[in-house]
Amino acid sequence: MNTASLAVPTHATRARAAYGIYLRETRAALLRAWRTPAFAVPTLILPWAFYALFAIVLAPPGSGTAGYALATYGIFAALGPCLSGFGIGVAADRDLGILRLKQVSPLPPAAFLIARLGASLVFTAVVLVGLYALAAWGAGVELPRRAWLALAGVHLSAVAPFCLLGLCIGLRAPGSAAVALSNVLFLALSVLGGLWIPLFLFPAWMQRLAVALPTSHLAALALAAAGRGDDGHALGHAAFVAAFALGCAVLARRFWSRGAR
Amino acid sequence: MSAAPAFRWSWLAGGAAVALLAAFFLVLPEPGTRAARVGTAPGFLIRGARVFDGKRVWPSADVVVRAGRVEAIAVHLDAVNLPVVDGSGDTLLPGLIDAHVHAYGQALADAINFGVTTELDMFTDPALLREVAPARSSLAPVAHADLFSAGWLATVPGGHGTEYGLPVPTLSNPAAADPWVAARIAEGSDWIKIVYEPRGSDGTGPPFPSLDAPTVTALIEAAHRRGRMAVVHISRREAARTVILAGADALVHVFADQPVDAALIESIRSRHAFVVATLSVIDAFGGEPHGAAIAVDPDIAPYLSPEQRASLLPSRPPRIPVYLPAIGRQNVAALHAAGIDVLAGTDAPNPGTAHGVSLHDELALLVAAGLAPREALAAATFLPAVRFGLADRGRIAPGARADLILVHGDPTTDIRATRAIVRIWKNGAAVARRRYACDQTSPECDRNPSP
Repeated sequence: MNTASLAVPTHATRARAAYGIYLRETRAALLRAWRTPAFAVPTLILPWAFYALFAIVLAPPGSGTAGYALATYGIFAALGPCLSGFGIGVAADRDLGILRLKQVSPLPPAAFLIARLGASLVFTAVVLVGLYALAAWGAGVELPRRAWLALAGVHLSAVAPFCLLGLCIGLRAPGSAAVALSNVLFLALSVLGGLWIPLFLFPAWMQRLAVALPTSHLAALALAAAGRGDDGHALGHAAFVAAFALGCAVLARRFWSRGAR
Repeated sequence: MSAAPAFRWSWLAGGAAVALLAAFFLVLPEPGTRAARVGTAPGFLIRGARVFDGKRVWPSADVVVRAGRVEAIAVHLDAVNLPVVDGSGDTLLPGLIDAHVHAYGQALADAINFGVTTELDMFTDPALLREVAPARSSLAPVAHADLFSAGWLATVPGGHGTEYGLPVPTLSNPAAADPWVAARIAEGSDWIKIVYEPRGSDGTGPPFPSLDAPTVTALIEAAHRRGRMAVVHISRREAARTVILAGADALVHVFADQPVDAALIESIRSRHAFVVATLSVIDAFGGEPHGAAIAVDPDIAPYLSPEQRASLLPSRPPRIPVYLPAIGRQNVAALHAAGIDVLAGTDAPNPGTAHGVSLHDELALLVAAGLAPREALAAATFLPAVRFGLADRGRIAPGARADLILVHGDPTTDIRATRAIVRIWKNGAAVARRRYACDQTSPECDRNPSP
C-alpha cells in the first residue's frame, strides 16, 4: 500500500467518484433493460400501438380525440417502464440475491435506486418521443411550443410517483407476485384513472373512485398543460400526486431497511 | 484508470441526446403548421347550376372557387384552365348550418357527410371546442364540419344538462352569474347558453330544478356586458316570455306547449330576438318520430354511420308531454309570419335525431310549417350565419368560404331534393362521402360499400 492511497480524498474527488458510481449503475440498468427485449419492446410499443389505434385509426375527423388522448396516453407511457421495469425488476433482483448484495456492498443505497429511476426516465422519454411524433405527424396534433414542453414536463414527472410505487412492490412482493400485482395495478391505474377512456364517460361511482388514483390527477394536470381542459384544481392535483409519491417513498424506505437488516 | 475517458464519452452521448431532444421539440408542430403546409385546395368552376346563394335563386349560374373561397358568381364565367364541374340539372347551395346540436365523438364527421359544413353547438365539453376551433378559421381542406359552441351550459345543480355525467360547472344565484360567464368566455365559449325550465304557476313542470329568473337575467346581462349573445333553452311559452323580457337574444327551441300569443310575438319581434325551431326533436319527443322514415330513404340510408342509425332509431323513444308537434309547427308559422327569424336546428343527437341527416328533415318540417322552400334553405344557411355573426359562410358570394353542396334537382321548389347530394366541398376541397356497409336490419342500404 503506498502513501498516495491513504491520502484523504478531497470533496471534489469524492463527488466525482460518487457521480461515477451513479452513472455506471444507470448505464448498467439501461443496458440490462435494453438487453431484455421481452421487456423493452412491449414497454415501448404498447403506448404507441394504443395511441395509433384509438387516436388515429378509430378516431373520426374532428372528434378531438387525438389531442385529448396525447395528454392521457403520455401518463400511460410512464406507467410501463416504472411498474414493469422498476417494480418487477427490483423484485427479480431481490429473488436473485442481487439486491442483498447491493445492500451489503459499500455502494451508496441511493445509487441502486437512482440508477433504476434514471433508466425508467430514459425509457419513458423514448416512449414519449415516439408518442409525440405519432400525435404530431400521424394524428395532426398541434400545440404551442410552451404546451408541448409543459406536457413533457407533466409526463416525465409521472415517473417519480410511479417508480416509487413500483419500488414498494419490488421490495415487498416476491418476484412472481410482483409480476401479477404490477399487471393488476398497471391495468387498474390506466383504465380507472381515465388514461384510455375519458373519465366523464364512466358511471358516477367510477368517477368518484378515480379521485383516489394518482393517474387521474396526473391526467388532469396533463390535460391542463396541453390546454385541453383546465378544471381549476391544478394545485390540488399536484398536491395529491406529491403526497402519493411521498407516501410511497416512506413505505419504500421502510421496506428497504427491513430488507437490509 | 479507464474511468475518465468513459466519463467523457458519456458526457458526449448525453450532450448529443439533449441536443437531439431539443431539436425534436423545435420541430413539433405549432397551431397553424399543417394549414400553412397543406395550403388550400386547387380551384374549379361549377358550370350551369341553379344556385341558391343564401338569399336568392339564380336559375343558372357559373361559380368559380379558388384558394378555399368563392371567387366569383355570374351567369357566365370563363374557366381559364380551371377544371369544370357540370352543374346542369343540379342546384348549388351554401354548406348547411345546423343551429342547434350537441357535438362530440363522430358528430362533425357525420355532419359533413350530409352537407352540414358548420355546426352551432349548444352544450358540449369546451375541451372539444378548443381542439377543433382552429380549423374554422383556416382554409385548409378538412374532412369535418366546423364547430362553434357555447361550451358548458348555465344550469342549476341537478338541473337539465347535469344528467349526462359531464363536469358541468353549475350556479344558483345572480351573484355567481358574472364570474360564471367570464369563466366560459375564458374557456372559449362563442356565446352563452342558459337552461330555464321553471315549474309553472300550477306546479307542473320538469322533474328537475331550474335556475330562477333573477339568475337568468343576471346571466343575460353578464353575457351582454362581455359582448356575447345569451341564448336560452326553454320548452314552455311562459318561460319563453320571461327570458325574452329579460333580454335573451334567442330561444334555442320553439315552445310547443301552447300557441304563441300576439304580446309574445311583439316582445320577440321588437327585441330583434330569433328562434331556433328544432321541430325535429319536438316531433321525436312528442310522439311523432321520423327516424324510421329517414333511415329507409334511399338518398340517405347508404350514408348513415352506425352512430347516426342508432341515434335516429332509439330503442326506447322518449316522450316529453309539453312537446306537442302540431303546436310547434303552428308557432313556427306564426313567428315566421311576424317577421321573426326562425333558424333551422335539430338538437342532434337527441334520441330520434342524428347529426347532419336530421337537418334535411328539419328543412322539410319548416316547409310543412309554412316556410317557402327557399326560406327554409335560408334558415339553414344565410340566417344562422348572420345571427351568429359568422361573416364568412352561409352564402355563395365572392370572398365567402367555399363550403358548398351540389344537390340533384331543385330544392328551391321541392325541399326534399336537399337529400340528393351530388358533391360536398369544404373550404373549396371535395369531401369524399362515406358510404357504410349494411347489415341484415337495413335491407335498403347499399350492399357494396365504397371504400
